[in-house]
Amino acid sequence: MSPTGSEIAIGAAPRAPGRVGAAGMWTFLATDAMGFGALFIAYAMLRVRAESWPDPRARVALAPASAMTFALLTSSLTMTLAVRAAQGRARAGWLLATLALGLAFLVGELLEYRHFLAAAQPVGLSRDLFASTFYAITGYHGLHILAGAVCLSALLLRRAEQRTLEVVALYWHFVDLAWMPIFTFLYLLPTR
Amino acid sequence: MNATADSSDQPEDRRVRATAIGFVVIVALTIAELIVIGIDVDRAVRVTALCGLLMAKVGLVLMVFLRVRFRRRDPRLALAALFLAAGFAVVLMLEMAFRMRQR
Repeated sequence: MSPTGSEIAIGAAPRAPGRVGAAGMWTFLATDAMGFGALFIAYAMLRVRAESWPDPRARVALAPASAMTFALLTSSLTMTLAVRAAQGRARAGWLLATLALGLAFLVGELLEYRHFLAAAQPVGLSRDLFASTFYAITGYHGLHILAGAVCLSALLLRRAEQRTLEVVALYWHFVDLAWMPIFTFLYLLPTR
Repeated sequence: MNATADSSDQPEDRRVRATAIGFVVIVALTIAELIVIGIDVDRAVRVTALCGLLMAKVGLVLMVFLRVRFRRRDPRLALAALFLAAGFAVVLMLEMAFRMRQR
């Protein structure tokens, strides 16, 4: 089997079309990682300089967030299996599973927002620094999931080439990667 | 012909198995995170453990799913270093700020 687009060293010649697509996506991911990095640094600075910071476990429900995390992790596995599957029903099935898990993650996030806003003391965007940073970071990540879901839908609707699938897979795995520090810093890191 | 097909399938099978094992390890590390926050130990120990687990997970995702390999002239290696450097920077900043507040 020939090496896939996402596995080829980008600097080597000759330059195949799939390689160019992967290189473009890696460049995009590097800039996007800086966006996430800026948000994390802002969050860290605000958190440590705040007079008081609520314990995340007092605000957020850990069980749904954990379920969302496992859904996203599993979606990375199904995406990998979609890339490796032969064309046809198997590939469409794995892509559909990835899309379903991504949408489940988004629904979980929206339910979490609703839970925040429907509380006895609603936690809106401007309630405090915790709420502002929580909505900003999870919202930014949620938009990435939404964009990935749109790409997956497009892949399902039209028979995409292998290299297109590999480039979308790179993006999807990155979105999974970006969720890991969010889960640790926003949901797990204790205040006291 | 069949023998050729079988021999070419074996590396693919190995890769799928490696991906599955990597996935299981990442899930196990996530469960370990959930266990760590429930353990009654000093905050510094929990934070250190959580950051260590996070680094392990990020490294595994880079290797298993994003397929970053330690090859020469591979720019993805530099990008992986960038990701890790950003992560370490955040952890170090948190640690420094925590120490400053303790004084």
